[in-house]
Amino acid sequence: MRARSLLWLGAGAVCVVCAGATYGVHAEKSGSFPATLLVGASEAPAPVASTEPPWSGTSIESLPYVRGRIKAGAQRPTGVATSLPQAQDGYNLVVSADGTTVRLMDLDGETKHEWSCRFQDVTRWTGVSAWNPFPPPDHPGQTTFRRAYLAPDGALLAIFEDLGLVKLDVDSTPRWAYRGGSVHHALDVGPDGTIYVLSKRQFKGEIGTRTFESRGAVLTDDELVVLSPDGREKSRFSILDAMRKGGLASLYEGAKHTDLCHTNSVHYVRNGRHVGSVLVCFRHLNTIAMLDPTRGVAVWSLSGLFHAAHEPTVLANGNILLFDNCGNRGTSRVIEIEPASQTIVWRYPAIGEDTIFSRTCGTCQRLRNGNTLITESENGRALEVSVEGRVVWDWYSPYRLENDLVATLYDVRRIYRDEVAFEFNGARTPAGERR
Amino acid sequence: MSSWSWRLGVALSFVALGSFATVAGVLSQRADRFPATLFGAGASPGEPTGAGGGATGGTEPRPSTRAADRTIFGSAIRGHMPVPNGGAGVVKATPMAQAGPTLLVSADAAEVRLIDDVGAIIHSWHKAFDDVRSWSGDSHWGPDWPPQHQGRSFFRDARLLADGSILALFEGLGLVRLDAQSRVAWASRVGQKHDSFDVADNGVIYALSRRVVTRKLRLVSFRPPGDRIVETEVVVLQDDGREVERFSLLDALLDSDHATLLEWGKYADALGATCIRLAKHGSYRGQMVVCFRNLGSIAIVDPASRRVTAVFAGLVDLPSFATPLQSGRILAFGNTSLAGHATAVEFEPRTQRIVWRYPMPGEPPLRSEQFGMCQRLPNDNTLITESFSGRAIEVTSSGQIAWEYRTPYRHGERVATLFRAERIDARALRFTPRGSNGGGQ
Repeated sequence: MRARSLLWLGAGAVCVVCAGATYGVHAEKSGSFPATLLVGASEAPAPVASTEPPWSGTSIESLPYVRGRIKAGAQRPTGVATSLPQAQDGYNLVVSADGTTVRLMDLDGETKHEWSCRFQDVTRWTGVSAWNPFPPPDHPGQTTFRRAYLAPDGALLAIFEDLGLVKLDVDSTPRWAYRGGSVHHALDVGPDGTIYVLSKRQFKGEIGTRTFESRGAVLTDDELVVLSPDGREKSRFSILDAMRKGGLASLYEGAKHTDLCHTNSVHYVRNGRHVGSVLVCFRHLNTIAMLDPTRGVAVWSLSGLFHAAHEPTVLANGNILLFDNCGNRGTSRVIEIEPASQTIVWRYPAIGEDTIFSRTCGTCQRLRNGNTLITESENGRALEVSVEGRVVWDWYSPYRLENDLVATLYDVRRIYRDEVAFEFNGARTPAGERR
Repeated sequence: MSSWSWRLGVALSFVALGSFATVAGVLSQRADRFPATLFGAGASPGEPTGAGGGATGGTEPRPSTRAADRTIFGSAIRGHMPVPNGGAGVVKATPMAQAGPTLLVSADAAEVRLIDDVGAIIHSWHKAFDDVRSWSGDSHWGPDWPPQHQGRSFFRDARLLADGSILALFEGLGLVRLDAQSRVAWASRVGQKHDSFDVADNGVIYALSRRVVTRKLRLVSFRPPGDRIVETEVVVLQDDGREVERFSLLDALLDSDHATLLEWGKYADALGATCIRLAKHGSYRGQMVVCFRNLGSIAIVDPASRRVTAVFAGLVDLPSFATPLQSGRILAFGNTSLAGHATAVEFEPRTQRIVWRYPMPGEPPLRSEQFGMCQRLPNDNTLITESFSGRAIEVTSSGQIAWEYRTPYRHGERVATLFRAERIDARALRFTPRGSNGGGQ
């Protein structure tokens, strides 16, 4: 009797398991209960990310750069490793994640001038706080500058990531500070002093007839903000709206992140067909786009030649130079694109040359002598390469974070001697001690 | 233990076991592991069905007929829209319209019709799939040939040749050439030919073909479930139907500088290749214009290097059709997507500047979720096929409707999808249509 009962129980259990598994398979196929409860990583057609606040700093989705990723170790070199006569003369403006200090160095790595400003010392902010609580108590943007722009008179524009833009004069005194939502990543300045900077806004998830599913997370869209030289807001527009007006909204079909497009670069175009436009880079859409800031319309875009890229700039010949992170493939590159034919006309490294890699960040600058200055951000290295791909100057950042992490080198920009019309406040050692 | 406690314990155990098994079933389907593999594969959630979706059954290049039946061309694709009120046939004809007969490919039957400017049929070609016996080439379907799916019942695309013969495509099955009397000249079943083909001036045919394979994509992070992916190939045939060569469009993209485009992949049919056209003019002469519907892109593919040489993303929503014009520009048709309506767009490829668009703001919207095409006519008008609505309109460059046709054909209770309406230059034809038989009107 007992054996017979156990047999029936076993058979029943097998039936229940089979029925349950069958139902589970079909529930997943049809998207019905209980599959809808099991939010997994295997299918993510719509933008999905964590529900952490955008400044959590723990999610690459929400704060797509980190202050440091690579352990320095004892063997790692610091300072200038290569310096050949072919290097372009000038200074380097260095923005590093180790603090809220921007340094101007000579090609020997010696700091000639620096600007420093603590977030809490900036007291008079203008602009409307669009959606973030301000200031959030533990926001990492308070501890570093993400990007800076140096004016010839020694004034410096610097971004507290996601928090605001501040203008410091040559002795680091704050002149004005603009809040304006969530200023982030990048800025550029036009020939008339107009400032173009990125900001962020909450996004309800509707584009035309399509609604993006966020599963409770905050969806964000970027904005381009236009400021007068004295920091007053002249205009701002949604980049999504600009793309929609330009008939390019279908690029968002490829969006897979809560930060839909993740705009990470701003470049005022001084050459070529689109003079006066602003070239931006959408990391999450693998796209660069030209925006007309006067009309708030996207007028051109290019996709597919790069992956998670940064820092596109229009060169004097009309070509576009950018830092192609190549996703997480282990090697990055800098490429020059002829936009009409969509061909890559120059790249570094070419096959067989030194490798560079930065999964996030990364910048590049074409210099007057034709060389290219590259910032390999996560590796804390800047290198200048010739057209032929020869390294004529390179420098390893000495700046560190806690736990011996190399501080991400957000940007190294060559400043020519004729672009500097102010007196330096003295040489300092890399550690910041006045000599 | 009391008898009730024992029974309650058993019942709770069964509930727990069932719940556990259900969760395991869900996860196995996501991971494409046992036991989900026993049930055959379905399309990924959100995957378009029909021509853009493709067979996703099986991990080998030979899907079962059962799986193919389920995923290729469901009935809703052949007939999607309810029958509207109002007339059918040519409902508007103005002097602004380009003269010439119109070739129609409709989902109601394996028949291609040529109508005159008032809608009367002046010639037709038809062939039942079972009457085509001399198939050449190795079938992707193997012993399952002939498969029992709806591709047998209609033509997806057709091209009229100067001698009055036509090339017609049984969706997912093969390409046939019929002479003016609908006799079979040849039939090629290489691969699962689908959606589109084009014919070069020398008679060489470029067709899209697909099969399901298991492969890991290099260079890109996109991975479809189980690494099962629709491998779309360009198959090149001589004018007698013999295969000359073939190459993979996935590899053409992966081997190019534009490989990153695949990061936008969402479905097993990552590309959703829906249209292939040869460029006979302009800077892309000798190359092919291919629509990657599922990547929202139009690509230029060089058949010599077998690489994608340029990509136009974002200009056209869900592009189902693109063709190079004599001017070197590209005319494309995009389906209803984020913009909320379908659009025909003409753009300059080197600058990506849109030079013409229909509809313009204020004009009646086009409705097309899938398929759809457009043709630039000699008088600079554009003939647009709104497939699901079974409607074709000829619009002037200023957006006026010069000619309008509404299909009278039905698939069940629905409007039969009108895949193609193409205006024919009668002067280029070397055959005499049979004349009007009034059928179907």
